[in-house]
Amino acid sequence: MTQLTQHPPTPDEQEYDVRRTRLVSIGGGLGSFALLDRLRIGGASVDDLVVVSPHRTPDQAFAQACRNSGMGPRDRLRSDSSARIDSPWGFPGYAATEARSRKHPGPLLRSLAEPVLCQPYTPTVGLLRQTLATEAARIGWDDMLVRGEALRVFRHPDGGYVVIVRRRGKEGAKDLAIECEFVHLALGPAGPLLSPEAEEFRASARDGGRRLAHAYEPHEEVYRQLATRGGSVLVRGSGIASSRILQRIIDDKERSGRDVHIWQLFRSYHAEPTGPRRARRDAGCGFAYQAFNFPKAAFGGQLRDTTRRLSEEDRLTLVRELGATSTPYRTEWATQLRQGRAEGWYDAVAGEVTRFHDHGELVGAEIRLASGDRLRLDVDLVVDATGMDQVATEHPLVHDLVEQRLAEVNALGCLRVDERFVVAGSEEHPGAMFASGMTSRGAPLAPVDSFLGLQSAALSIAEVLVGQGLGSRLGPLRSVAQWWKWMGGRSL
Amino acid sequence: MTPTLVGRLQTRLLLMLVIGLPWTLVLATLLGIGLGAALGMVAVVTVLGLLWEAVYHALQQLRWDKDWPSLLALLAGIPEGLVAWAVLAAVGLRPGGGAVALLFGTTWLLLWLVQQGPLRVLAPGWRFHGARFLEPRPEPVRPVESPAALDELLTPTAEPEPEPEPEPEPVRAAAPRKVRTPLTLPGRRLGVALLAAAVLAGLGWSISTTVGKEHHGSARAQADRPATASTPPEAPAGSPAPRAQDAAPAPAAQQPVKWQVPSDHKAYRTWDAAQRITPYAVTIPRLQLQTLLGSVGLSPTGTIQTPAKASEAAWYDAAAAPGQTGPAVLVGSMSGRGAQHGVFAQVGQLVPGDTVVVTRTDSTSIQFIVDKVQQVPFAKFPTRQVYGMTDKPTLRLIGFSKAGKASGTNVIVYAKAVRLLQPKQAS
Repeated sequence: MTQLTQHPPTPDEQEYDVRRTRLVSIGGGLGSFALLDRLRIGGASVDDLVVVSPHRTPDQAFAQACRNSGMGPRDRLRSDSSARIDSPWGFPGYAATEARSRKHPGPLLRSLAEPVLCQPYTPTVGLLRQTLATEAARIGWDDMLVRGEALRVFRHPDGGYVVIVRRRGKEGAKDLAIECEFVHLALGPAGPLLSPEAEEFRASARDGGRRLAHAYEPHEEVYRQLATRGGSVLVRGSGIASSRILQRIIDDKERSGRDVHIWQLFRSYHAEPTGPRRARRDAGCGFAYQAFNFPKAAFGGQLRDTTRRLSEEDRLTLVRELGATSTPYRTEWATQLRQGRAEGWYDAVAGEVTRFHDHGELVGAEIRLASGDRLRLDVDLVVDATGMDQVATEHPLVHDLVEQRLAEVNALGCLRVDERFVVAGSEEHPGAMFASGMTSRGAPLAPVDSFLGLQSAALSIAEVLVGQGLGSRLGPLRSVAQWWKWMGGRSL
Repeated sequence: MTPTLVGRLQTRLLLMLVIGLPWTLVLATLLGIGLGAALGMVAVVTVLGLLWEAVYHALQQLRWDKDWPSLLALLAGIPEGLVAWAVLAAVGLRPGGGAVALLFGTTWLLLWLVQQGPLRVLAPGWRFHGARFLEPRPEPVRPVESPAALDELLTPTAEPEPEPEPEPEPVRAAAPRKVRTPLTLPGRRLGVALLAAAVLAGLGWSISTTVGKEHHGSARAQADRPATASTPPEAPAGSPAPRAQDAAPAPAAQQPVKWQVPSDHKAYRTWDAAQRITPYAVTIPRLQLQTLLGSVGLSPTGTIQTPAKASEAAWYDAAAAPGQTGPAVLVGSMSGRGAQHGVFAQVGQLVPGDTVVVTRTDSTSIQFIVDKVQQVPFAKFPTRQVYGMTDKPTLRLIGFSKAGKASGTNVIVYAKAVRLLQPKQAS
């Protein structure tokens, strides 16, 4: 994850290398990539675009998150075939690409029959990264890339913004001041989210709390210990990350034959389908089942229109409800869990951890159950799968923007944006500041931090930039011509 | 798909108009149905379709995801077709039984296929706007009027000077930019008309390409690999600096150097070109050059890696091996760094007919004869010609220059394999 430290720029003492461009995208992950891809396809020149990133490739942060949560290149993501991050069109989808490379029509047929006849097709990490790398080379990512940390963004008195960048790996080199008209922020999650009790345990435990692993931190040793010695493990959370962890633990258990007992702690236990009477969200075994992190219509259908229409307060309520923790239904997980319940090595508990104790070799978890009772669990290991830190103001750059009153923050702690993804508080100043991805949670588009959400945001932002003469509109003719180029893999 | 009601109606109307109607007319002519009857059928089916969309929208409300899966969209053709069948009979527009089934079935399939992807190519925003084509343009942001000097801002302590500072040279011309006004309503109509025309034109095209893709997978797979390597191996600058001639007598500039097979080697005109044997060293008699070969691959950016030192040449291990069918690529620097000189500094002096010998790790060597020496600007690197598959074993020497990435030239030597040399057995 991006680790930024605060280096206040000192303009009095230091000189800067100055560079001018039109748009600077800070972040350099998938959010920046989606926007720059769209702008390049719209005909914007590489001279007009700069991406400030600590990473060499746009998929680096994403790949690291996948690796940390134990996903290899062949593991499947929770994403749609047409939600391509490397193409604004999403056609042909990942399913078609995979079908062609495997010389097997299975993925394609599955994507056409989903979700009525079969579980939805989802792309693999490897396929995504491979196609992304191709597209990055095609649009000239390296020509736009400035590696380093964006220390500060401030307003230029004559309009536009100035981004101060500390360049990577150049000891004693001058910082770079990039003068630009538009700034785009897509900074991603601030890191794994550790609850206060988990943090307290890590601070107090003798071994530094290595027995409490986090799903988004490297935690391979947990699996190794369970596979070699067996034991009991408490998995906190009921989202996609916990599903994957359970699957991995159970797969290892079957392979090694060790005695592993799994406790899973649900914050809210869904025994029954929930939602309005007629259109219910499926649930079972405590999990709420949903194919993607939001209902599909939130990406570009009826619910998209609803979230756009509502006031911010109502919208956040709806977004919390629609985007509540859920996991896709996959037969292999469900079968394993049913078997575990029947054989007695899997227990689901509904409640919240109030404290972790360091209890000799064991970790003691004090749990307040949903029924109000208290439960004390002594387990060998704890895996915390409660998610990422999604509060954008944790990022020093965003924090600084808010301090400078250049941007406003919503109740989720993320930048408030309008439906053009223009950051609130920046409208009056000539030029514009945009935010997409996790930095803009609570936007009129609910699933901002999904592939399709990033593409949607990129299209909206590009529409605004077209009005300023940066790139051109993706009308039918241009779109078809550019798509043809993309299909042929021809460089832009 | 996640359509809204308005989006459904817009999509249905537009697709019927630009695809359903022409397709029906074409089929009707083939089937011998009159123009009036065909138009009547399209009209009836379109009106019915609009009513159906309302029904589908109501059904969609029963789904948690508020989506309309592809399969349902396809199967909806069955009830819709049956009703159309009955209604066409009632209004007396139904031609023969098979004709209606063919007309309706093919049109339905066509419209369904277009909505599964090609439509997203024509209108990228369509899927994000609930299947609507017409969306209001976003409000413009305030444009930046005159981007001014930054230096003052960053060095506020600068002494005020009596005379105005000259404007620093802008990196990019700071001319006032054209701010496009949003299209007015007639313009939007024009856009829709253009879209309609483009749907027609692009449809056959895109379908043929998608179908073509399935069949020509291998061709694309091959095109894919050089695409990542479409940026030339390394950015060069300037032509190779000719070094002072060595003491040895220089061969005539335009005459190929005569080269004899060493007496302790035996030459063969044929060999197993399918075998992949790693090269070990390269010898270029004209340049009196003999050097060991390293190997390089692709860098993460899709360009060829360059050898670690300017004095080293390397073989690109993702292409063919020398002596193997296909292009074997050797890269080397043309410009030195510090005390080192570029190993391929003089590679541009080779002339057609010259010999290049590559020794392989099984102690055999391949003799190549130079066909062509080319000096190309970096921007016009002939990727296909260099990396493209060849029928015979071939060799490409690529000289690059490290300095200055934006401009310059690459020297490319094309050679074909003629002989395999094997050391004679010591008796």
